[in-house]
Amino acid sequence: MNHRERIITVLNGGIPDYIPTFELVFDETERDFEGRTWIGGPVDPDIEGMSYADKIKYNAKLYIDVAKRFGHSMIFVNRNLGIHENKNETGVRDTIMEIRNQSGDEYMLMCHNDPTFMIPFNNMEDFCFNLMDRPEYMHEVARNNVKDSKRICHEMLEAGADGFILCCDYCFNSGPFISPAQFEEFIAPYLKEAVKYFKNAGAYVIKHTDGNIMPIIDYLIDAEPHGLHSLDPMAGVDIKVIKEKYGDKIALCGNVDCSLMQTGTRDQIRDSAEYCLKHAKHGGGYIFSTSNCVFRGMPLESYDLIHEIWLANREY
Amino acid sequence: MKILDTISEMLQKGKADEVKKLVQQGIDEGINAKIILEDGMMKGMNIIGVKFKNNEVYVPEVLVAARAMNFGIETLKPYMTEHENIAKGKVVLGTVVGDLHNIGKNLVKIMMEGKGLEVIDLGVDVSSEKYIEAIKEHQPQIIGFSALLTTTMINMEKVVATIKEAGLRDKVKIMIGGAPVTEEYCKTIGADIYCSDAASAADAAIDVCAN
Repeated sequence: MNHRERIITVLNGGIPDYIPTFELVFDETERDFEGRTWIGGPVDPDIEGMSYADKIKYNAKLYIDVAKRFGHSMIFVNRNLGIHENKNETGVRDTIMEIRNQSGDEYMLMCHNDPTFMIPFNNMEDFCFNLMDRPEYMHEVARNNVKDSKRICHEMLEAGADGFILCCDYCFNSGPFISPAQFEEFIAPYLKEAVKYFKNAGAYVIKHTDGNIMPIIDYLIDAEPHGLHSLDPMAGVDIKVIKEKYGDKIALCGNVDCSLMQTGTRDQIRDSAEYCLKHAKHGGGYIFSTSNCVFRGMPLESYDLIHEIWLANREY
Repeated sequence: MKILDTISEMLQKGKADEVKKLVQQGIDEGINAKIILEDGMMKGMNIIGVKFKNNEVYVPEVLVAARAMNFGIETLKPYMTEHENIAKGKVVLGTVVGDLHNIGKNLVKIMMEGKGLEVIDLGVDVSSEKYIEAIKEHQPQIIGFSALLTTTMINMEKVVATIKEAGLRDKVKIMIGGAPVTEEYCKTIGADIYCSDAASAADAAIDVCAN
């Protein structure tokens, strides 16, 4: 069973040889990868004179090296080349193609493609006023977003992607940013339509959102993605509860507490990782990961610790 | 008075034009501007705050209520005497250095203003030096910083230390909040007040300013 087959088994609700792992984003790369950082990421490397094709090869190799080093079974191509990419260039698509060139079918390859409304961090007032004052306009925007996502779906699948991680965040620690009724009207139907379309096109789909998803989780389940990420314990999401209630309907990913990995003790981090493995392992359908990502500034000793715990407990 | 209840009700529904009309109507009927503010609009905003805390209303409802309140205040301003304009207290807010997120901080501002506090908003990515300048310039009872990211939350400790070094620690209460922030972290870095949501932050600020 290779990495890709392992993830596919899990997303189809089966039991693989061992629990796979991955990270949505892995930005702390200098220590283990000869000082390399992502082109277009938080700390750009020196790429003076590098061609577009070489930039793509550079990032593709770094994605593969991160996966190899930490045993990740799934690679999420989370970024294009940022300011190093021209308007006519298509960094994500080309990075996917290059990863396939370099690693064949070894890894599950995913990218962004979420057409739904998310917490509007930069224009919250405009978004909310439109939602309350101009609902028809907002439905039109939502419909157009779904239409665009269908086009992107085919482009990315043709490039070699296996599917999508839908990364629009819906929730704060306290709960969703809009009411469950508004969620039902403005997000749920469009999420369901997009997921159904992607799956019919042959894509695998994982829905990601931070925060306390419990007030809207039934809508997420009803959309029928293959998996649900990140199961945020900082917001009180308990993987044991989710596994018991929804484990037969959807694969689960995440729940190892990122906040503790930043500021907690080794014992607290260990407890969080072991809790996830203990309660989500049985019956398959679990992908081990942090409750968000390995963001810039996270102490890598924390990631090393949960990696060791995963290695020691991953076998079925 | 029935009109005050109607102002409160319309404000909670985010009906800005109705609030504006009703406020003017109240003034025309001879109701004191301060009473319209406190027993009409602020009463409505307080109810919204409690409902937000209890997840009975969400961010959009809070924002349209705040918009309605602003409409009402604009109508009321010419009728407020200088004495009536005195705020219940002063708070300086900002998102901590390195962090560009402002939703939580803006909600706290709305809730605090809804309770009659004057809020000086320093924006996002606020350096320790800016906080220090603001304390000296505005002399608030409270200084508050928020962070959405675990990686920027740790900068709060540096801001607290800088305030101490500047000899201003006993001049202000320090309030912190944000998704990764906890009561335990608040104690660890030597801040005074942790609040898990915007309405609680406004309640806590009123308590501080009353004492």
